[in-house]
Amino acid sequence: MFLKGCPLGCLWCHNPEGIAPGLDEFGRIISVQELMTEIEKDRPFMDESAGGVTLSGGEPLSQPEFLVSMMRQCRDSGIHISLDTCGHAPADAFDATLDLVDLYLYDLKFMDDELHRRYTGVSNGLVIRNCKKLDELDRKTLIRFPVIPEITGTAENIRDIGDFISSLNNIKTVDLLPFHRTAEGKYERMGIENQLKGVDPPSEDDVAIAKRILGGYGLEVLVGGSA
Amino acid sequence: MNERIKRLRELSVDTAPSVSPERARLVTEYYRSTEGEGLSEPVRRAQVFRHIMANKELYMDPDEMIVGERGPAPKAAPTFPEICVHSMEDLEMLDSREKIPYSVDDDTREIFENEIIPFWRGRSQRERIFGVMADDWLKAYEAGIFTEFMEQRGPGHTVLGDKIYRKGFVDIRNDIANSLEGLDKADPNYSKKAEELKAMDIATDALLRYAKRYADKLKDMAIVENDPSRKANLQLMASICEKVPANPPETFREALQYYWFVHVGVITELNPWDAFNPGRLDQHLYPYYRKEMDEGSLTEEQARELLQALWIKFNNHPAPPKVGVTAKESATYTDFALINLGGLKPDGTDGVNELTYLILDVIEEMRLIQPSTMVQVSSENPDGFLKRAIDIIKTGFGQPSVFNTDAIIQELRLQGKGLEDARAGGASGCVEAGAFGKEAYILTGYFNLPKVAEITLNNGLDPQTGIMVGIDTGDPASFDSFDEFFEAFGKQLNHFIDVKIEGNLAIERMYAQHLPVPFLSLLIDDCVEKGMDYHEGGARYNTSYIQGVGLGTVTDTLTSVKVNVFEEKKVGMHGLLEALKNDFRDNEGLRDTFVNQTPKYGNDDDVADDVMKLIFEAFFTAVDGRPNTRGGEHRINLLPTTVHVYFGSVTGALPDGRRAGEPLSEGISPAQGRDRNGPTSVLKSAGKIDHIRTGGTLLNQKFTPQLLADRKGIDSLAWLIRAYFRMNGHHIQLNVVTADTLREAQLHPEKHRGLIVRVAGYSDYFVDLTKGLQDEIIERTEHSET
Repeated sequence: MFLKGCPLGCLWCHNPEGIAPGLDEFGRIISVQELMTEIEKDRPFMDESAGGVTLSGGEPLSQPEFLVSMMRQCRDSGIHISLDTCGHAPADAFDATLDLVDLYLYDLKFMDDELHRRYTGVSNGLVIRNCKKLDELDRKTLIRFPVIPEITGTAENIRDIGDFISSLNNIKTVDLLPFHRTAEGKYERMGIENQLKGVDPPSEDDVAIAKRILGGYGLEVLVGGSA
Repeated sequence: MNERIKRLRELSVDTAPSVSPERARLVTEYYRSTEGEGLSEPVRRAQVFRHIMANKELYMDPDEMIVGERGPAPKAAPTFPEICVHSMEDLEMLDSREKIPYSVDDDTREIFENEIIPFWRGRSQRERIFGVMADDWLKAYEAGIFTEFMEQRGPGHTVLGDKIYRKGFVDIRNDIANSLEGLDKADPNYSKKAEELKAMDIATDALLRYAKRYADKLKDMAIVENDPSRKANLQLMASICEKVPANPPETFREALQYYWFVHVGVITELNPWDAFNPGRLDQHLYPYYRKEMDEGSLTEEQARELLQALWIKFNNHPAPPKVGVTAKESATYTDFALINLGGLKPDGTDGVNELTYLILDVIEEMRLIQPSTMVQVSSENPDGFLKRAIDIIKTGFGQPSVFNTDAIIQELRLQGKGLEDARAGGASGCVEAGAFGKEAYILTGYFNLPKVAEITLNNGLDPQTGIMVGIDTGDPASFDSFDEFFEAFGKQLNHFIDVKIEGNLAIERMYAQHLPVPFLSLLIDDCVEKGMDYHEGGARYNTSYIQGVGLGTVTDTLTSVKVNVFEEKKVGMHGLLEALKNDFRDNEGLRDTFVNQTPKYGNDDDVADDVMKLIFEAFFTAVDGRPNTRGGEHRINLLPTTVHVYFGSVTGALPDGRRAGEPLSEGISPAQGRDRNGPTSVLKSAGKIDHIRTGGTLLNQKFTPQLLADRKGIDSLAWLIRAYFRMNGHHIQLNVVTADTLREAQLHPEKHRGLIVRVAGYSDYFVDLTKGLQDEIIERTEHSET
């Protein structure tokens, strides 16, 4: 489920249709009740796979009231919730999700605040605060790190990320998401500038190096969700 | 595979199919020589069969481990002139056509011209059938409302149970003698039964002679063979042929050879649809495998090699060459022998064993189009079994298909079969549920559901020809509600089903009367006990099927009429008919409304899916329970093979936005490109069909190989299948998308809206990707195909 609106503007965004808040050709207004009816349609598949709903966007926390209200209903119906978030949300909005989410898919991009501002448009202060909160309360969390050649994928940034995660007490897994070009068609259709047009995905070697560096911190490292 | 198997496999794959005149010649010779002798038909047929088995050439490759061929050599397909005589034009067409050709040499042509055609013209079953069918039937048949299965192949669709593993032919002969002795002379059917039993006895003798001829030939070959390992093989095979089929098999190899003799017998006696089939192969062979493995008299490698040899035997036998409409709508060499793996034991416990996995290895390694294979998946079977099957499916040759054992058992139980008989059953042909070894379940023809809608819209008239093929159900422009329209549809449907069933009854009687099958009758319970032929009702269970085609298209068609004409009034009936008549020329706006703004089956949308249920109910009610001539009943199933293309070619533009002549939806799949909510919604819509009240449904799903590149992909697919089966889904066939399909999707995105591909850890709709990325995926797919 994709919720519209995102406070960030990452160059490599693969869901550019989700960035703008409000109603446009990519979104539709839906009530919590209507959404629950849609979700219930997939019940046979969720039951079989022990799966559930993954909330993504955009940034789902940019619609905090709706999000909390639907997650409560999911919890009451026994539906597993994964929240795919960039972590940039006010502390009270973020903390309101803590008892409702079964699994956080939590993005870390840069530890250097200057770089974070340059490539995403916002400071990483809230991202770090909220991540520490998850660690402190030992919430089930998978850190996701997008590997964008020459942007996030520098050895220095990867080491920063490794330093940070290894300083946490409970969170020990990071999933590498290598840059891909799936969204090129979307940028074209939407008629917006794609600043990474023509950039190639990182080579297998680049990904292996990132994996080795992070592994060196004693972390469990996945690529695209697989070991 | 070892060198020996590799060579036999290459020979099988590389040999081009040809027409063999051998069988036609022997049959003609025998009929001619016994003309006017006043034999009963069963006895005459048994003698014809014995004449063939006693005189046909014995093919033998020095490397073979299982012997017996229907023709004089691999891929040499006989014809069955007593059912259908191939004309000189038919032979020419078979020889020269681009797709699925059968070569016909000059000698064969000459034999046909001088011996076969002159004798059989005017006396074949096909001519008999077309000669007696009512006018209504002929009109509907020519309009493409239904096809007729029995006009050039015998009723078949049957599968062997465990009989041959318990009884040798000597035992079966004793059973026949006992049955004959037990007949009551006061029974008005006494002489009929006595003749049938006499015929069965002759048929046992025919196969025993055939095996004996092989034993003698193998001994002769062994004497002159210098290579010691070949010599030993020939000697062993000679002794096996002396033992089976006379006696029950005691070893794995004897069991395979026995089955193969029986297989050759069934497909030589007549040309039954779906050839013949050992059914639950892993269940039948496992006791031999286990015992010999424990004793040390068989190794896994030997078992594998023998199974591979059996696979080659199946592949050596292309479907008998067809003619006319059937050749058009069933364009394949496959003869639909469908081997079942897994499922349940008769006591209801998990049937998966070591041999199941060994056979899966064989399927993967042999990669042959025949035999077809499937896995039966019950909630009792382990996930590892399903995932191993998916491993093979993802290599992309369409096998094995996946069936829901728990649904099949419920289907068979609902039809009144005993619990153990149902558990020992499975699916054969494409997807047809049956009680193996105990049932004659006969597919009688495909039924074009969308064409019935077209005829309803035209008040009984076929707009393609202007001929009145249906009945007068009122001018649709006079209807005030969808209910009225649907009532008219129901009346047309019932009319055509009545016509079809009337034809079926006549044809069933013709087979019982003119072409009994005493040999096949030996193998299916309870023909021997009842002294009654398989075609007459001798089997324990007797079912006749009518196969509905185009469920997706007809649902979308009726939904569009309901929504656009009667509810939202976006178009009047006159306007609609005008647009259909013109194939939407000058009316693309209306077509766009139909295609893009009207609910469609396959999207888990109850507006469309409720219409589907109405149609299902009407079709079910029209057919189910109507008696056949064999003491059984008519049932429905939903499958098309490739007939949706032919049916589409005779059906004009429809209110779902489909243009004239385009293929109908296939199986129970949504119409092409009309599913836009992903695979879970397709499965949800398909799950709303009451599968349990059918004898089988067929669902095809496409995916690209990348989707299953890792464990996670395979797990997800396994869950998807399990979820569909929890909704009582009967069958799912997973097709790996080829590069060609992707290219076609690039050119015609509107027909492939639902096609999902995996791109670098993410999945997306193929048609939404940029040309560059599409090309990349095509290239990758092509790469994985080689």
